[in-house]
Amino acid sequence: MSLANNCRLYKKSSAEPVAVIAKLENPGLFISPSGGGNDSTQWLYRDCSFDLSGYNQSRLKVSHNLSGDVLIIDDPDLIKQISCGQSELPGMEALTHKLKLRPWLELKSWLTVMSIIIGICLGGYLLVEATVNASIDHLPIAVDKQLGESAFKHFLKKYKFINDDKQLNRIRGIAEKLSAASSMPYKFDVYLAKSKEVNAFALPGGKIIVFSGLIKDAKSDDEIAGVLGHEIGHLKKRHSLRDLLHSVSLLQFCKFVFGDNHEDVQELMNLMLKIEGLKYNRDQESEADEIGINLAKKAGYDPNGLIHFFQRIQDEESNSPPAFILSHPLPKNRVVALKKKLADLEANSN
Amino acid sequence: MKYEVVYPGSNAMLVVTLNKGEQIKAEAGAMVAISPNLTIEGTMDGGIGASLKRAALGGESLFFQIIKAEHGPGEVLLAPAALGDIKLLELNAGKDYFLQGGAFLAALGDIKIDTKMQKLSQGMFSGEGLFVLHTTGRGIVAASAFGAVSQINIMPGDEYIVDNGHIVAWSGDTNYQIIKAAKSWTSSFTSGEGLACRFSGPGTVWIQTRNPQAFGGWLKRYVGAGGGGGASLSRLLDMGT
Repeated sequence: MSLANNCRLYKKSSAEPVAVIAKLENPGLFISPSGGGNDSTQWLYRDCSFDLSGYNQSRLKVSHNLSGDVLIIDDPDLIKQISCGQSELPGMEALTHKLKLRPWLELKSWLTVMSIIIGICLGGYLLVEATVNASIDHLPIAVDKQLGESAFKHFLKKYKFINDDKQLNRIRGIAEKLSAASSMPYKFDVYLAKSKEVNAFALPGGKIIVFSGLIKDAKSDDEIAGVLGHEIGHLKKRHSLRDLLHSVSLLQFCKFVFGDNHEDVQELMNLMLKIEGLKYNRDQESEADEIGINLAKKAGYDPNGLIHFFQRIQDEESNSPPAFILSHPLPKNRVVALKKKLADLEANSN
Repeated sequence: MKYEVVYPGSNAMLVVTLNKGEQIKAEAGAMVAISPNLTIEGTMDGGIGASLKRAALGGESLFFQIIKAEHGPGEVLLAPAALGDIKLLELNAGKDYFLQGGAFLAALGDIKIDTKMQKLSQGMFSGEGLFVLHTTGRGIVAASAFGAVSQINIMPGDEYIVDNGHIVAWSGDTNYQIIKAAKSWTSSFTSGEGLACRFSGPGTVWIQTRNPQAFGGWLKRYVGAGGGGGASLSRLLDMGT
């Protein structure tokens, strides 16, 4: 059988190859310049020694013992023809075995590398979570309060606070009932900020800021109790501090694993961390929702209040962006999750 | 197309003159100056998968830039980020070159750039990383080095040992394995040489006269460590209902 292909010939005293065409002509190889010409030569297999060379030893290196020249063949078909057809040559059997194993070894390498990468990422993530969970209980509430104070300064600059006794007494009265039901180790300070935004914030350490837009929008004390219960849920689980520890630990872990000296990798890493951070926040929001309806129920309010509140927001929103780019779950998803949670609560209480 | 390395040595720069209709591929951010009638396009060469592989694993940028002479002839000046020389490697006759991560500066001609995974033992210990860049086709590959570039020709049957932090590129036909630099493991590490690569001919290896990692280590002794990422207030405030 004759098979010709482009190969590279290295003369004994040269590191620069010449392009040649090698043709199988048993019992040897017929080698001619690829651009034509009379400078052809024939190597008999018995005068040659064979070895593997090049990238991951994927090329056949044929050394001509008489001239000292070397032919490099990288065409898999031609290599197969030579190695299978000349198995009686010294060392050829071992070489054929190596070539047969090569695809499997490459696959094995890929699988090993991927397993190591996935293992490190997964193990690292779990380690970060375990570290955050273990350390959060050992951090004093003073840390939360300090964080909350610095954030509160920002609110003081940005918003005007309302000192209307009637409205403040209403929300503080609800908060006190919820506080009694929550068995929190410290009291909350509830503030009313002037803003059309329908929202409320819990700052670590116990400061809860309710926007006047929310009070205006809420149809009952039950709804306000649901929202305040949600904010107390954040405080109870120390979500701000937990989020901070989680994001900083994960960032340091990623820098340790992937390095921080390559701009593109850094940008990709930041994007992944941002997406992961949003998911983490959404999970915290869902957890606070559950605590919110629990507390509202315990304090004697209708736990459906929070559901009604989100249902109204859902009705007002015409187009929802994709959930994965949001720090809060979509209102419709919150409604579904809360209804399920409430059904479970009622089933358990019966 | 004409090309020339000007100011060879530590401040080398590649000057490429393109005729109308010609184009080159260059490392993102390598452009120093350009004629106004040349255009620059960012491209994820080989698609997003290949680009991510190249960036995350090969130590190169996510994007290449394609510099085109669409509207007429023009000149572009390209330079690497680090101080060092530029070596022009000619690709033809079925030849191929492997480049260590970060060494690619530009490709002039019909050149394909891919990322290849080395054997685990080579990748872990060679100093070039697990993944290296593989260039094939016809044309010129411009490789950047830290310090000057030295070419080592290895004849058939010959071998050469190179410290693993000094490798820039090597021809694809060359075989290499990781070895301890000194006689024993103890003296290999106490001598400060650690691991090295033993290249077997035939083929060519291009080395850089300075080791970037060793230079980084030397620099760290004189420069204080940078601060880490702090917690952001905006994240703290994003805790509303």
